[in-house]
Amino acid sequence: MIEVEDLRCAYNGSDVLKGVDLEVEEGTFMGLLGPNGCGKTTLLRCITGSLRPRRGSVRIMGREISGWGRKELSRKLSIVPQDTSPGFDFSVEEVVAMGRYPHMGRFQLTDPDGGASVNRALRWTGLSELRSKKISMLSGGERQRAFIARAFAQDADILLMDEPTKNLDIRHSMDIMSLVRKKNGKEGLTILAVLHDLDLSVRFCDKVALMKDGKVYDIGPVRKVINEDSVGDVFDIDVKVHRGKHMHIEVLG
Amino acid sequence: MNRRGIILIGVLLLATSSLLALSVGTARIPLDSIAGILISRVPFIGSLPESQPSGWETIVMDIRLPVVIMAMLAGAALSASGASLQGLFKNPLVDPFIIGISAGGAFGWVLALIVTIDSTGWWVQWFRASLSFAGAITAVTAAYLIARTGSRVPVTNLLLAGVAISASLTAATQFGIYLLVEDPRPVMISLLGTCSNSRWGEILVVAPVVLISLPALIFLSRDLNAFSMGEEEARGVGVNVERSKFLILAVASLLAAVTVPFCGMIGFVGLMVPHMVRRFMGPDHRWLIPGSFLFGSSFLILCDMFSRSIMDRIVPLGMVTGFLGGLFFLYLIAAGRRSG
Ligand SMILES: Nc1ncnc2c1ncn2[C@@H]1O[C@H](COP(=O)(O)OP(=O)(O)O)[C@@H](O)[C@H]1O
Ligand SMILES: [Mg+2]
Repeated sequence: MIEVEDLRCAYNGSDVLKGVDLEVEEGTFMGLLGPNGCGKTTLLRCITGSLRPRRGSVRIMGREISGWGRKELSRKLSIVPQDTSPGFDFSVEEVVAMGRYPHMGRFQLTDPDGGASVNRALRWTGLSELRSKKISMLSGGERQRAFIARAFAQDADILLMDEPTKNLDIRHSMDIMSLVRKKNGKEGLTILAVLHDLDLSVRFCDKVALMKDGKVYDIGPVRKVINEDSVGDVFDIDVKVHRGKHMHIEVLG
Repeated sequence: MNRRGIILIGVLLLATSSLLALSVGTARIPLDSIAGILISRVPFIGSLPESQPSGWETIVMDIRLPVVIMAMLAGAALSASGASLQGLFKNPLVDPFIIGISAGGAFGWVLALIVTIDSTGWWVQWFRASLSFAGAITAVTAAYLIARTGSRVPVTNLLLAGVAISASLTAATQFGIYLLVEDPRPVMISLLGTCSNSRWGEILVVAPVVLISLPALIFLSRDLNAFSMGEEEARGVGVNVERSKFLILAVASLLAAVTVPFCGMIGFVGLMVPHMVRRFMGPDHRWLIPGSFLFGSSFLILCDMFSRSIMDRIVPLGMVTGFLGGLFFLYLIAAGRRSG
């Protein structure tokens, strides 16, 4: 679904991505892990086409990113960016309904067929009851679910998320992770998510990509990639990996 | 109350305020005579009532009606401009006056005025309007570029850049007038903001621009909703961010700029009206834009009526809106402080 090859991207001169190779197969839930500033957000922004790479290629469903029209692409690929803060106080339903924009004609102001998708997205995220509430009245977890619902309403095949559990406590982080995991399991949604919590990542993802300093350090099935050496190297810490029913990464120092 | 009901109220308010504004002035003309005069102009059905002072018809049709219509158009234009700029920059403190559009427009207009001061002809109005638009779009683009850091445009930067550009352009404008215009008083006064000299010929320039911009902005209102969530989100739901931003800025600048040559600098209308409309109709731009057009026109008609009736001479309209706007800004700051 997503193929990234030798991707190099710079902001002002010096490369932030220094030759990234990455592939996400259809139906996979992949976690993208790495220390702050290693280029995870930059990589996502190249995949969404909002940043133009200096070199290399990004292909979505086999087609080069530059070959996709903006609207056409957003019918296939939905995103939940980091730190979304609406400038005005929309209701939950209004926010979710924005996910229907890519399916509407240029001069269409409302989407008569979109109601079903919006309702489904609200149900998936458990927000049906809160649909007419203002976004500012929601808790952090509910807010994040509303933005995910907006992405779901897009009925896309791919979902990109940038730290969806940032600023959430463990309970709400679990909610978010199991929510997207379920969508992935039941409908085959392909997911690439930047995550910072190692335990949650190994628990919910099929595969992980470890990034360090603008490159992919290792990529593959969770139990293969996550070990004392790789995690220690990438994050520059000492860890012990417990491999029980749920893997747990204990930080030693 | 639902949004259709509010639109209906807006229409009634517009009708009432227009009639009131037609009746107020040096000669007080009763409302039924105004209605009579207006109806008499409707083809086929109208006939003029006999028993009214001669001259009333001329006052209403040739003097007051163009003023009221100009106030209506300018109010609609400035409010819709403000609403769309606020959506684009996802900030309710933005207004065409604040980010330099009006000052840029005034600069362009004065430049055109100096060049064409002895010219007559139908093209003069259009030339001045065009240069005003060019000035407006240059100013807002400059503010935008100065404010930009990397790929982001922080709104505080934009406001500061706007204030700086406004200040320098206003000084340059005044310098131009002072140095090159023989009798600067009328030019200065018309820059202070007033609709009271408007004639039908000027409405022919402003009306098409305003009437074309309304549908344009309504079709951009989905994009404006998406922009209110942030640029990244807008891109995510399929908005062609750069193109859309350019279109919105262009239409918003055009709307604000077209008022400058004919009404001067009328500040804060674009700040106040969308804010109030949003309070009653919600932030969805598919309603906010038409709502701002509608309530903005009544608002400026009423302000203009007020400016014509508080003293025995006409107080510039820009002073009325400036005063209200200053108070309103203070209220926003206080409200923002209370809510944290
Ligand atoms: N808009 C920007 N302009 C300049 N440099 C940036 C910008 N965004 C990110 N960077 C730099 O690029 C590097 C990678 O950033 P980012 O992709 O956000 O990392 P991550 O998401 O992994 O924390 C950092 O060193 C950061 O300072
Ligand atoms: Mg990041």
